[in-house]
Amino acid sequence: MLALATKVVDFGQLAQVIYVSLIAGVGVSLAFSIVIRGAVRAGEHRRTRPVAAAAHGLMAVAGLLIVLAAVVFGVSTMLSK
Amino acid sequence: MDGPDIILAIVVATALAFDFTNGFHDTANVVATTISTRALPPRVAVTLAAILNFVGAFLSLAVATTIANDIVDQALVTTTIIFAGLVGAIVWNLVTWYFGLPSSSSHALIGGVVGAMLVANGVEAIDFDGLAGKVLVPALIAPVLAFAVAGTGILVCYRVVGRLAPGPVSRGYRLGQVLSGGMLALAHGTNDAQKTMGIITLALIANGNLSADAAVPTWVIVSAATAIALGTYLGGWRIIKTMGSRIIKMDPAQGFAAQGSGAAVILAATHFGYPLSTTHTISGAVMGAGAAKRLSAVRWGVAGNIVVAWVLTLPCAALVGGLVYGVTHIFGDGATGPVLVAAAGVVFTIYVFVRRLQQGAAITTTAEGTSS
Repeated sequence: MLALATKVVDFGQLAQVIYVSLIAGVGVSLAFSIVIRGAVRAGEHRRTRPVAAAAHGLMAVAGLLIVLAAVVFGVSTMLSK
Repeated sequence: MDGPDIILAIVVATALAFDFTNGFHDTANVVATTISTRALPPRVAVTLAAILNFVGAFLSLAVATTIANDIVDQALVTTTIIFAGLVGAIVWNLVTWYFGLPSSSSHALIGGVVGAMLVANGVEAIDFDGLAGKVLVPALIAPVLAFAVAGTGILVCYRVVGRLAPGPVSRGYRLGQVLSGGMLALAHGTNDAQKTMGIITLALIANGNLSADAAVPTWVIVSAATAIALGTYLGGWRIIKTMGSRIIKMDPAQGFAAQGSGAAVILAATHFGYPLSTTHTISGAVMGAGAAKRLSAVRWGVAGNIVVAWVLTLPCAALVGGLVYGVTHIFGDGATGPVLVAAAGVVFTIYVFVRRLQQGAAITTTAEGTSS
Protein backbone atom coordinates (compact mmCIF):
# COMPACT_ATOMS: atom_id res chain seq x y z
CA MET A 1 0.00 0.00 0.00
CA LEU A 2 2.79 2.37 1.01
CA ALA A 3 4.79 1.37 -2.06
CA LEU A 4 1.78 2.13 -4.27
CA ALA A 5 1.28 5.51 -2.60
CA THR A 6 4.97 6.31 -3.04
CA LYS A 7 4.75 5.37 -6.71
CA VAL A 8 1.67 7.50 -7.35
CA VAL A 9 2.35 10.52 -5.13
CA ASP A 10 5.56 12.53 -5.36
CA PHE A 11 5.98 13.09 -1.63
CA GLY A 12 9.17 15.07 -2.18
CA GLN A 13 7.33 17.65 -4.27
CA LEU A 14 4.43 17.78 -1.84
CA ALA A 15 6.83 18.30 1.06
CA GLN A 16 8.36 21.21 -0.87
CA VAL A 17 4.92 22.74 -1.40
CA ILE A 18 4.23 22.39 2.34
CA TYR A 19 7.45 23.91 3.63
CA VAL A 20 7.62 26.64 0.96
CA SER A 21 4.03 27.63 1.78
CA LEU A 22 4.78 27.67 5.51
CA ILE A 23 7.97 29.70 5.13
CA ALA A 24 6.42 32.14 2.64
CA GLY A 25 3.04 32.51 4.36
CA VAL A 26 4.28 32.78 7.94
CA GLY A 27 7.50 34.57 6.96
CA VAL A 28 5.70 37.34 5.08
CA SER A 29 3.21 37.72 7.96
CA LEU A 30 6.13 38.05 10.39
CA ALA A 31 8.09 40.46 8.19
CA PHE A 32 5.09 42.69 7.54
CA SER A 33 4.19 42.71 11.23
CA ILE A 34 7.74 43.87 11.93
CA VAL A 35 7.20 46.67 9.39
CA ILE A 36 4.09 47.80 11.27
CA ARG A 37 5.70 47.46 14.69
CA GLY A 38 8.79 49.38 13.54
CA ALA A 39 6.76 52.14 11.89
CA VAL A 40 4.38 52.59 14.83
CA ARG A 41 7.18 52.60 17.43
CA ALA A 42 9.29 54.98 15.30
CA GLY A 43 6.33 57.36 15.19
CA GLU A 44 5.82 57.15 18.95
CA HIS A 45 9.51 57.84 19.77
CA ARG A 46 10.15 60.42 17.06
CA ARG A 47 10.29 63.45 19.37
CA THR A 48 11.36 61.99 22.72
CA ARG A 49 13.86 59.25 21.76
CA PRO A 50 15.29 59.92 18.30
CA VAL A 51 17.83 57.06 18.44
CA ALA A 52 15.16 54.50 19.33
CA ALA A 53 12.93 56.00 16.62
CA ALA A 54 15.72 55.59 14.05
CA ALA A 55 16.33 51.98 15.15
CA HIS A 56 12.63 51.15 14.82
CA GLY A 57 12.55 52.92 11.46
CA LEU A 58 15.43 50.75 10.26
CA MET A 59 13.61 47.66 11.52
CA ALA A 60 10.54 48.70 9.51
CA VAL A 61 12.60 49.26 6.36
CA ALA A 62 14.33 45.89 6.80
CA GLY A 63 10.95 44.15 7.20
CA LEU A 64 9.60 45.90 4.11
CA LEU A 65 12.63 44.85 2.07
CA ILE A 66 12.09 41.22 3.16
CA VAL A 67 8.41 41.37 2.14
CA LEU A 68 9.23 42.89 -1.25
CA ALA A 69 12.07 40.41 -1.80
CA ALA A 70 9.72 37.51 -1.01
CA VAL A 71 7.18 38.77 -3.55
CA VAL A 72 9.81 39.31 -6.25
CA PHE A 73 11.37 35.91 -5.53
CA GLY A 74 7.97 34.19 -5.67
CA VAL A 75 6.98 35.75 -8.99
CA SER A 76 10.42 35.23 -10.57
CA THR A 77 10.39 31.56 -9.50
CA MET A 78 7.02 31.14 -11.21
CA LEU A 79 8.33 32.83 -14.35
CA SER A 80 11.45 30.65 -14.46
CA LYS A 81 9.50 27.39 -14.87
CA MET B 1 -15.59 24.54 -41.81
CA ASP B 2 -16.18 20.76 -41.54
CA GLY B 3 -17.65 18.68 -38.67
CA PRO B 4 -14.52 18.28 -36.48
CA ASP B 5 -13.68 21.98 -36.80
CA ILE B 6 -17.22 22.96 -35.79
CA ILE B 7 -16.90 20.74 -32.70
CA LEU B 8 -13.48 22.28 -31.95
CA ALA B 9 -14.93 25.78 -32.24
CA ILE B 10 -17.76 24.81 -29.85
CA VAL B 11 -15.21 23.29 -27.43
CA VAL B 12 -13.04 26.43 -27.46
CA ALA B 13 -16.09 28.67 -26.93
CA THR B 14 -17.38 26.40 -24.13
CA ALA B 15 -13.94 26.31 -22.46
CA LEU B 16 -13.70 30.10 -22.53
CA ALA B 17 -17.26 30.35 -21.19
CA PHE B 18 -16.20 28.00 -18.39
CA ASP B 19 -13.17 30.19 -17.72
CA PHE B 20 -15.39 33.27 -17.61
CA THR B 21 -17.76 31.61 -15.11
CA ASN B 22 -14.71 30.51 -13.09
CA GLY B 23 -13.62 34.14 -12.72
CA PHE B 24 -17.22 35.25 -12.11
CA HIS B 25 -17.73 32.54 -9.46
CA ASP B 26 -14.39 33.08 -7.68
CA THR B 27 -14.31 36.89 -7.47
CA ALA B 28 -15.85 36.64 -4.00
CA ASN B 29 -12.95 34.49 -2.79
CA VAL B 30 -10.34 36.87 -4.12
CA VAL B 31 -11.75 40.27 -3.14
CA ALA B 32 -14.16 39.61 -0.26
CA THR B 33 -11.50 39.92 2.44
CA THR B 34 -10.03 43.09 0.96
CA ILE B 35 -13.44 44.73 0.74
CA SER B 36 -14.81 43.54 4.07
CA THR B 37 -11.83 45.00 5.97
CA ARG B 38 -12.10 48.19 3.89
CA ALA B 39 -8.53 47.82 2.68
CA LEU B 40 -9.69 48.98 -0.75
CA PRO B 41 -12.93 50.41 -2.12
CA PRO B 42 -14.95 47.69 -3.91
CA ARG B 43 -14.51 49.24 -7.37
CA VAL B 44 -10.72 49.42 -7.01
CA ALA B 45 -10.45 45.93 -5.44
CA VAL B 46 -12.41 44.28 -8.23
CA THR B 47 -10.58 46.14 -11.01
CA LEU B 48 -7.20 45.29 -9.47
CA ALA B 49 -8.22 41.63 -9.07
CA ALA B 50 -9.32 41.44 -12.71
CA ILE B 51 -6.04 42.97 -13.94
CA LEU B 52 -3.91 40.68 -11.75
CA ASN B 53 -5.95 37.63 -12.77
CA PHE B 54 -5.09 38.53 -16.37
CA VAL B 55 -1.38 39.00 -15.58
CA GLY B 56 -1.30 35.82 -13.45
CA ALA B 57 -2.41 33.71 -16.39
CA PHE B 58 0.92 34.43 -18.12
CA LEU B 59 3.13 33.43 -15.18
CA SER B 60 3.36 29.67 -15.60
CA LEU B 61 2.18 26.78 -17.76
CA ALA B 62 2.88 23.90 -15.35
CA VAL B 63 -0.79 23.35 -14.45
CA ALA B 64 -1.87 23.51 -18.11
CA THR B 65 0.69 20.81 -18.87
CA THR B 66 -0.68 18.61 -16.06
CA ILE B 67 -4.25 18.97 -17.36
CA ALA B 68 -3.18 18.24 -20.94
CA ASN B 69 -0.83 15.30 -20.17
CA ASP B 70 -1.37 13.69 -16.78
CA ILE B 71 -5.09 13.02 -16.28
CA VAL B 72 -6.30 11.03 -19.29
CA ASP B 73 -4.75 9.14 -22.20
CA GLN B 74 -4.16 11.85 -24.82
CA ALA B 75 -4.24 9.32 -27.68
CA LEU B 76 -7.88 8.42 -26.93
CA VAL B 77 -9.21 11.94 -26.37
CA THR B 78 -11.64 13.41 -28.90
CA THR B 79 -13.09 16.89 -29.05
CA THR B 80 -16.54 15.45 -28.28
CA ILE B 81 -15.18 13.96 -25.03
CA ILE B 82 -13.70 17.29 -24.00
CA PHE B 83 -16.93 19.05 -24.91
CA ALA B 84 -18.92 16.61 -22.74
CA GLY B 85 -16.46 17.08 -19.88
CA LEU B 86 -16.78 20.85 -20.08
CA VAL B 87 -20.56 20.70 -20.11
CA GLY B 88 -20.45 18.35 -17.11
CA ALA B 89 -18.28 20.84 -15.24
CA ILE B 90 -20.44 23.84 -16.14
CA VAL B 91 -23.68 22.05 -15.20
CA TRP B 92 -22.22 20.94 -11.84
CA ASN B 93 -20.89 24.46 -11.20
CA LEU B 94 -24.29 25.95 -11.95
CA VAL B 95 -26.09 23.45 -9.71
CA THR B 96 -23.72 24.06 -6.77
CA TRP B 97 -23.81 27.83 -7.35
CA TYR B 98 -27.61 27.67 -7.32
CA PHE B 99 -27.64 25.86 -3.97
CA GLY B 100 -24.76 27.91 -2.50
CA LEU B 101 -22.32 25.00 -2.17
CA PRO B 102 -18.67 26.16 -2.29
CA SER B 103 -17.62 23.72 -4.98
CA SER B 104 -14.39 23.73 -6.94
CA SER B 105 -14.48 24.64 -10.63
CA SER B 106 -11.18 22.83 -11.05
CA HIS B 107 -12.41 19.55 -9.62
CA ALA B 108 -15.60 19.89 -11.68
CA LEU B 109 -13.58 20.34 -14.86
CA ILE B 110 -11.32 17.35 -14.17
CA GLY B 111 -14.30 15.24 -13.03
CA GLY B 112 -16.28 16.11 -16.15
CA VAL B 113 -13.46 15.14 -18.52
CA VAL B 114 -12.73 11.93 -16.59
CA GLY B 115 -16.43 10.95 -16.64
CA ALA B 116 -16.79 11.56 -20.38
CA MET B 117 -13.57 9.65 -21.01
CA LEU B 118 -14.77 6.72 -18.88
CA VAL B 119 -18.02 6.41 -20.85
CA ALA B 120 -16.23 6.79 -24.17
CA ASN B 121 -13.20 4.54 -23.64
CA GLY B 122 -13.46 2.74 -20.31
CA VAL B 123 -11.16 2.74 -17.29
CA GLU B 124 -7.95 2.10 -19.23
CA ALA B 125 -8.19 5.61 -20.71
CA ILE B 126 -7.81 7.23 -17.28
CA ASP B 127 -4.38 7.93 -15.81
CA PHE B 128 -5.32 7.02 -12.24
CA ASP B 129 -1.76 7.61 -11.02
CA GLY B 130 -1.82 11.16 -12.37
CA LEU B 131 -5.35 11.71 -11.08
CA ALA B 132 -4.45 10.60 -7.56
CA GLY B 133 -0.94 12.06 -7.39
CA LYS B 134 -1.56 15.37 -9.14
CA VAL B 135 -5.19 16.10 -8.27
CA LEU B 136 -6.72 14.14 -5.38
CA VAL B 137 -3.91 14.18 -2.81
CA PRO B 138 -2.95 17.86 -3.39
CA ALA B 139 -6.66 18.74 -3.27
CA LEU B 140 -6.88 17.13 0.15
CA ILE B 141 -3.72 18.76 1.47
CA ALA B 142 -4.17 22.33 0.14
CA PRO B 143 -7.09 23.57 2.30
CA VAL B 144 -5.60 22.00 5.44
CA LEU B 145 -2.21 23.51 4.66
CA ALA B 146 -3.76 26.94 3.97
CA PHE B 147 -5.66 26.65 7.27
CA ALA B 148 -2.43 25.86 9.16
CA VAL B 149 -0.34 28.55 7.45
CA ALA B 150 -2.97 31.26 7.94
CA GLY B 151 -3.55 30.18 11.56
CA THR B 152 0.16 30.29 12.35
CA GLY B 153 0.55 33.53 10.38
CA ILE B 154 -2.14 35.39 12.31
CA LEU B 155 -0.75 34.19 15.66
CA VAL B 156 2.65 35.56 14.63
CA CYS B 157 1.02 38.87 13.61
CA TYR B 158 -0.80 39.23 16.92
CA ARG B 159 2.37 38.31 18.84
CA VAL B 160 4.42 41.02 17.09
CA VAL B 161 1.89 43.88 17.13
CA GLY B 162 -0.18 42.82 20.15
CA ARG B 163 0.59 45.76 22.45
CA LEU B 164 0.46 48.53 19.86
CA ALA B 165 -2.38 50.99 19.39
CA PRO B 166 -5.05 49.28 17.26
CA GLY B 167 -5.64 52.24 14.93
CA PRO B 168 -2.21 52.43 13.25
CA VAL B 169 -1.94 48.62 13.26
CA SER B 170 -5.22 48.26 11.37
CA ARG B 171 -4.16 50.93 8.90
CA GLY B 172 -0.87 49.11 8.39
CA TYR B 173 -2.48 45.75 7.69
CA ARG B 174 -5.02 47.37 5.38
CA LEU B 175 -2.10 48.69 3.38
CA GLY B 176 -0.54 45.21 3.47
CA GLN B 177 -3.78 43.76 2.14
CA VAL B 178 -3.29 45.67 -1.11
CA LEU B 179 -0.16 43.54 -1.57
CA SER B 180 -1.53 40.26 -0.20
CA GLY B 181 -4.82 40.68 -2.11
CA GLY B 182 -2.84 41.39 -5.26
CA MET B 183 -0.76 38.25 -4.77
CA LEU B 184 -3.92 36.23 -4.20
CA ALA B 185 -5.47 37.53 -7.44
CA LEU B 186 -2.22 36.74 -9.24
CA ALA B 187 -2.17 33.22 -7.78
CA HIS B 188 -5.82 32.69 -8.69
CA GLY B 189 -5.20 33.82 -12.27
CA THR B 190 -2.19 31.60 -12.74
CA ASN B 191 -3.73 28.39 -11.34
CA ASP B 192 -7.28 28.68 -12.65
CA ALA B 193 -6.72 30.18 -16.12
CA GLN B 194 -4.21 27.41 -16.84
CA LYS B 195 -6.89 24.74 -16.47
CA THR B 196 -8.76 26.21 -19.42
CA MET B 197 -5.51 26.54 -21.36
CA GLY B 198 -4.82 22.84 -20.70
CA ILE B 199 -8.30 21.82 -21.86
CA ILE B 200 -8.12 23.88 -25.09
CA THR B 201 -4.63 22.52 -25.77
CA LEU B 202 -5.93 18.99 -25.25
CA ALA B 203 -8.76 19.71 -27.74
CA LEU B 204 -6.29 21.09 -30.29
CA ILE B 205 -4.14 17.95 -29.91
CA ALA B 206 -7.22 15.71 -30.23
CA ASN B 207 -8.30 17.54 -33.39
CA GLY B 208 -4.83 17.22 -34.93
CA ASN B 209 -4.06 20.94 -34.84
CA LEU B 210 -1.14 20.41 -32.44
CA SER B 211 1.32 17.60 -31.86
CA ALA B 212 1.14 15.75 -28.53
CA ASP B 213 4.22 17.50 -27.13
CA ALA B 214 3.38 20.97 -28.43
CA ALA B 215 3.49 24.01 -26.15
CA VAL B 216 0.36 25.95 -25.27
CA PRO B 217 -0.25 28.42 -28.16
CA THR B 218 -0.08 32.13 -27.34
CA TRP B 219 -3.64 32.79 -28.53
CA VAL B 220 -4.87 30.18 -26.04
CA ILE B 221 -3.00 31.90 -23.18
CA VAL B 222 -4.29 35.35 -24.14
CA SER B 223 -7.90 34.24 -24.62
CA ALA B 224 -7.97 32.26 -21.34
CA ALA B 225 -6.42 35.20 -19.47
CA THR B 226 -8.97 37.58 -20.97
CA ALA B 227 -11.93 35.31 -20.18
CA ILE B 228 -11.02 34.85 -16.50
CA ALA B 229 -10.23 38.55 -16.07
CA LEU B 230 -13.57 39.58 -17.62
CA GLY B 231 -15.40 37.06 -15.43
CA THR B 232 -13.63 38.40 -12.34
CA TYR B 233 -14.48 41.98 -13.22
CA LEU B 234 -18.15 41.35 -14.00
CA GLY B 235 -18.61 38.93 -11.09
CA GLY B 236 -17.35 41.62 -8.75
CA TRP B 237 -20.26 43.95 -9.40
CA ARG B 238 -22.70 41.25 -8.31
CA ILE B 239 -20.75 40.93 -5.08
CA ILE B 240 -20.61 44.64 -4.43
CA LYS B 241 -24.40 44.75 -4.54
CA THR B 242 -24.71 42.04 -1.87
CA MET B 243 -21.63 43.01 0.12
CA GLY B 244 -23.46 44.96 2.80
CA SER B 245 -25.44 42.04 4.14
CA ARG B 246 -23.58 38.84 3.39
CA ILE B 247 -19.83 39.26 3.67
CA ILE B 248 -18.37 38.39 7.03
CA LYS B 249 -16.19 40.79 8.98
CA MET B 250 -12.54 40.04 9.73
CA ASP B 251 -9.95 42.38 11.14
CA PRO B 252 -7.28 43.63 8.69
CA ALA B 253 -4.55 41.45 10.24
CA GLN B 254 -6.67 38.35 9.68
CA GLY B 255 -7.41 39.46 6.14
CA PHE B 256 -3.71 39.98 5.47
CA ALA B 257 -2.72 36.59 6.93
CA ALA B 258 -5.51 34.75 5.10
CA GLN B 259 -4.75 36.31 1.72
CA GLY B 260 -0.97 35.95 2.06
CA SER B 261 -1.26 32.31 3.12
CA GLY B 262 -3.74 31.44 0.40
CA ALA B 263 -1.48 33.05 -2.20
CA ALA B 264 1.60 31.23 -0.83
CA VAL B 265 -0.07 27.81 -1.01
CA ILE B 266 -1.56 28.35 -4.47
CA LEU B 267 1.68 29.74 -5.95
CA ALA B 268 3.81 26.96 -4.43
CA ALA B 269 1.42 24.29 -5.75
CA THR B 270 1.16 25.95 -9.17
CA HIS B 271 4.94 25.87 -9.47
CA PHE B 272 4.79 22.06 -9.38
CA GLY B 273 1.79 21.86 -11.71
CA TYR B 274 -0.87 20.90 -9.15
CA PRO B 275 -4.32 22.04 -10.33
CA LEU B 276 -5.65 23.08 -6.92
CA SER B 277 -9.10 24.23 -5.99
CA THR B 278 -8.48 27.91 -5.34
CA THR B 279 -11.92 28.14 -3.70
CA HIS B 280 -11.09 25.47 -1.13
CA THR B 281 -7.60 26.81 -0.52
CA ILE B 282 -8.77 30.37 0.10
CA SER B 283 -11.64 29.12 2.26
CA GLY B 284 -9.15 27.08 4.31
CA ALA B 285 -6.94 30.15 4.79
CA VAL B 286 -9.87 32.37 5.81
CA MET B 287 -11.02 29.77 8.33
CA GLY B 288 -7.48 29.31 9.68
CA ALA B 289 -7.14 33.05 10.28
CA GLY B 290 -10.54 33.07 11.99
CA ALA B 291 -9.98 29.94 14.10
CA ALA B 292 -6.62 31.11 15.46
CA LYS B 293 -8.32 34.13 17.02
CA ARG B 294 -11.42 32.34 18.27
CA LEU B 295 -12.52 28.81 17.38
CA SER B 296 -16.16 29.81 17.57
CA ALA B 297 -15.51 32.57 15.02
CA VAL B 298 -15.48 30.00 12.25
CA ARG B 299 -18.74 29.00 10.69
CA TRP B 300 -18.07 25.29 10.88
CA GLY B 301 -21.20 24.66 8.84
CA VAL B 302 -19.40 26.29 5.91
CA ALA B 303 -16.41 24.03 6.57
CA GLY B 304 -18.77 21.05 6.50
CA ASN B 305 -20.24 22.26 3.20
CA ILE B 306 -16.74 22.48 1.75
CA VAL B 307 -16.03 18.88 2.73
CA VAL B 308 -19.35 17.75 1.27
CA ALA B 309 -18.66 19.68 -1.94
CA TRP B 310 -15.11 18.29 -2.04
CA VAL B 311 -16.40 14.72 -1.83
CA LEU B 312 -19.26 15.21 -4.29
CA THR B 313 -17.71 17.36 -7.01
CA LEU B 314 -15.43 14.89 -8.80
CA PRO B 315 -17.95 11.99 -8.98
CA CYS B 316 -20.96 14.21 -9.72
CA ALA B 317 -19.20 16.20 -12.44
CA ALA B 318 -17.93 12.87 -13.82
CA LEU B 319 -21.50 11.54 -13.83
CA VAL B 320 -22.82 14.59 -15.70
CA GLY B 321 -19.84 14.54 -18.09
CA GLY B 322 -20.45 10.86 -18.83
CA LEU B 323 -24.17 11.45 -19.30
CA VAL B 324 -23.57 14.37 -21.66
CA TYR B 325 -21.14 12.28 -23.69
CA GLY B 326 -23.76 9.51 -23.91
CA VAL B 327 -26.44 11.96 -25.10
CA THR B 328 -24.06 13.63 -27.57
CA HIS B 329 -23.01 10.25 -28.93
CA ILE B 330 -26.62 9.32 -29.76
CA PHE B 331 -26.37 11.77 -32.67
CA GLY B 332 -23.17 10.14 -33.98
CA ASP B 333 -19.65 11.52 -34.24
CA GLY B 334 -20.57 14.66 -36.19
CA ALA B 335 -21.27 18.17 -35.01
CA THR B 336 -25.05 17.65 -34.55
CA GLY B 337 -24.77 16.28 -30.99
CA PRO B 338 -22.48 19.03 -29.62
CA VAL B 339 -24.54 21.76 -31.37
CA LEU B 340 -27.81 20.48 -29.85
CA VAL B 341 -26.27 19.94 -26.38
CA ALA B 342 -24.61 23.38 -26.50
CA ALA B 343 -27.96 24.99 -27.38
CA ALA B 344 -29.68 23.12 -24.53
CA GLY B 345 -26.81 24.13 -22.23
CA VAL B 346 -27.25 27.82 -23.05
CA VAL B 347 -30.99 27.61 -22.28
CA PHE B 348 -30.27 25.75 -19.00
CA THR B 349 -27.62 28.31 -17.99
CA ILE B 350 -29.91 31.28 -18.63
CA TYR B 351 -32.72 29.57 -16.69
CA VAL B 352 -30.49 28.87 -13.66
CA PHE B 353 -29.00 32.41 -13.69
CA VAL B 354 -32.40 34.07 -13.86
CA ARG B 355 -33.81 31.88 -11.08
CA ARG B 356 -30.80 32.44 -8.81
CA LEU B 357 -30.56 36.16 -9.37
CA GLN B 358 -34.27 36.50 -8.62
CA GLN B 359 -33.60 34.91 -5.22
CA GLY B 360 -30.33 36.81 -4.49
CA ALA B 361 -26.86 35.42 -4.96
CA ALA B 362 -25.10 33.36 -2.31
CA ILE B 363 -21.58 34.08 -1.09
CA THR B 364 -20.08 31.13 0.69
CA THR B 365 -16.46 31.85 1.51
CA THR B 366 -16.78 33.11 5.04
CA ALA B 367 -15.15 32.66 8.40
CA GLU B 368 -16.28 35.07 11.07
CA GLY B 369 -19.68 34.56 12.59
CA THR B 370 -21.07 38.07 12.60
CA SER B 371 -22.53 39.43 9.40
CA SER B 372 -22.44 43.14 8.96
